[in-house]
Amino acid sequence: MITLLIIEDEKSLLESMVSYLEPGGYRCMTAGTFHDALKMIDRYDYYCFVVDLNLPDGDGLKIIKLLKENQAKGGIIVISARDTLNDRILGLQTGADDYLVKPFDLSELNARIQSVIRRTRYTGLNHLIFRGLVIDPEEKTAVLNGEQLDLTRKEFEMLMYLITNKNRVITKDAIAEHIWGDSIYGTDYTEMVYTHMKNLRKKLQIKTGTDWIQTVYGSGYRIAEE
Amino acid sequence: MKLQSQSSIYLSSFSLIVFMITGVVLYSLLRKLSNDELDSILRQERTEVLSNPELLLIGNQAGAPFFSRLIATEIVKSPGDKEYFYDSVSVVKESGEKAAIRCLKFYKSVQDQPIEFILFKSKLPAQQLVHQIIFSVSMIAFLFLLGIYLLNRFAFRRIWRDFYDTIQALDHYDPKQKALELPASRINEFRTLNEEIEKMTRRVSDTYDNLNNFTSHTTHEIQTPLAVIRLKSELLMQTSNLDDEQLRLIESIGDNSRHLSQLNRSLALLFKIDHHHYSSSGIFLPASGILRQLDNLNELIELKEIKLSTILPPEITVPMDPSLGDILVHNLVKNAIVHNLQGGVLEIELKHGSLRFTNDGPEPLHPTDHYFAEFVKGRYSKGLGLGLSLIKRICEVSGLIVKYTFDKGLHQIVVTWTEKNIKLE
Repeated sequence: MITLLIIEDEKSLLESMVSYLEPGGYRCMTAGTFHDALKMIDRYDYYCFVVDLNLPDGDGLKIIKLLKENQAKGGIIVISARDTLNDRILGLQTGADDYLVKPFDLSELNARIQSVIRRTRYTGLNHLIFRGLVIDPEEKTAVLNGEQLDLTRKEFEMLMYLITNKNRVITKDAIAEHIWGDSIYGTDYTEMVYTHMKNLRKKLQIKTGTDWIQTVYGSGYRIAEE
Repeated sequence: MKLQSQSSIYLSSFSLIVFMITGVVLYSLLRKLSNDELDSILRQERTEVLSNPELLLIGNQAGAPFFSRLIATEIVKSPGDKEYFYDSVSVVKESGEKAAIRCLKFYKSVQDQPIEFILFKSKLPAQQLVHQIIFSVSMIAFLFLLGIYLLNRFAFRRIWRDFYDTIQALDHYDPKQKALELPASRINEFRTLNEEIEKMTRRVSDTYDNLNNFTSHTTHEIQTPLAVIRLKSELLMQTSNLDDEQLRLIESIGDNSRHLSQLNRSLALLFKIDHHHYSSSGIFLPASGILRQLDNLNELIELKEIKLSTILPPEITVPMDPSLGDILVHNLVKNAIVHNLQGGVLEIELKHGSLRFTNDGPEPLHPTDHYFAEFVKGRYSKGLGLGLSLIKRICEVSGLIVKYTFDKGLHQIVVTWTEKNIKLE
């Protein structure tokens, strides 16, 4: 089972992350303080560390340094409210594989965790298989029954995002932020998400004969396993 | 206009008027005095003529000094004992020069023959005196004005020095600093002024500090609850058996928490810019930042069918913090696209020393300068109303000048900077 260590002092956030991630097949270990984290980091063979930088009794960056010194195999994702370019660079330079600014969507965290695990662990997980669809995240290709789907880059990213968060409702806001980044905020992106989603559905429907993507009332989408 | 020039103008105009009036009065007074003097001489001479006119007529001058200044003409009928003074001009035969004279005309019958006598005397000596006096007065006036000018120039500066020092201190005052400390002035009014200004700036600085602390704490403290709301609403959305209404409510919670987070983030960014969290040096290459953002918002451009034209020479640099530069061009591009019209134009022109964004858009509701203030939104804006104020602040701290104008349906934002000779490694 894929084990994660989530280091976050805010209990409510920690619980939310665990509640979202565990049904996705992860085992989540948690630490609420710097000291707890130090005790926990050697206990399991973690696939991924989710590290908050602001801990009441220490700096999350020190944990990352320690993990790097110990040559820990898991990928590292920083979750922090510090959002300047310099903060991000510092986090990545210290050894983090990804940097997620708070507040974030759980679906986004899930996607980042999967991506980091794919990049840092063995190759067995390099291909994603969903309802017979073989997805290569590196090559950005999706093949169904030997036939490649002709998807644009953004349609591919949307599909990946939905599959990564399969069986979950993903809001259009989360999708927009995932695809275009937070600079999309303030623009009228509903139409853009809708257009891409429509095209993606059409292309999938032609190949599969069914509509895989459910529209959840309002403005969310969900892709379900059979 | 300078205080000094203003007071100089008043003082010199007043003096000039006084001197002119004095001059006119003095001139007419002197003229009258000299005429009176001449008249009394002429009158005396007339008495002498009348006492013995025959003598004069036959050419016996009897030593009368005025004989050469007497013209006697025989006339047909005497008008009686009339006499009168008048001014005239005599022409010197040899040179043809004209000279002003004062004349006295009177009549007397000599041996039953009525004769018209004209006695005259040159006004020249009296005129010379008048001119000399007027010249002296003018000189005094000139010296007086010169004195005023010099006094203004040197004494004025000395007297008002403290005042100008205060103005200069105020000019450089920044609420981020502590209160102003001004030197005590020798002049009571200025001392009071300085004390009041010190008090005022102390209050301003205190208010500024309080506001800062408040903003800083609020933006920080609000982050976690916002994150919790967002995560919980997302989790809630995953629970089964939700009806449409419930989903709509959750969606709305998520939307609003997202809006708040964005607001909070922008305010925190403004706060950081104000507090010099960013360096004021560095080199930024705008072209790549603009292209990145255009690429990022490409779909929006296509969706709105915006006619885009760009001139973006990649080698042009701006002397500013690169991460701030990135935020600046991102906001400029986004602003020009989001507020554009369906099928509108967007021109971006980067030159040495300037960056211009011209785009279509609805007519602004307020004067364009208002949009640089926080929370002033465009007519159909879905944003926070912080985009332009961010642009303005970034420009301010980076030493760039930003101008926003609206003309003939086109919005134009021009950012200008002073080119420095920076060699890229």
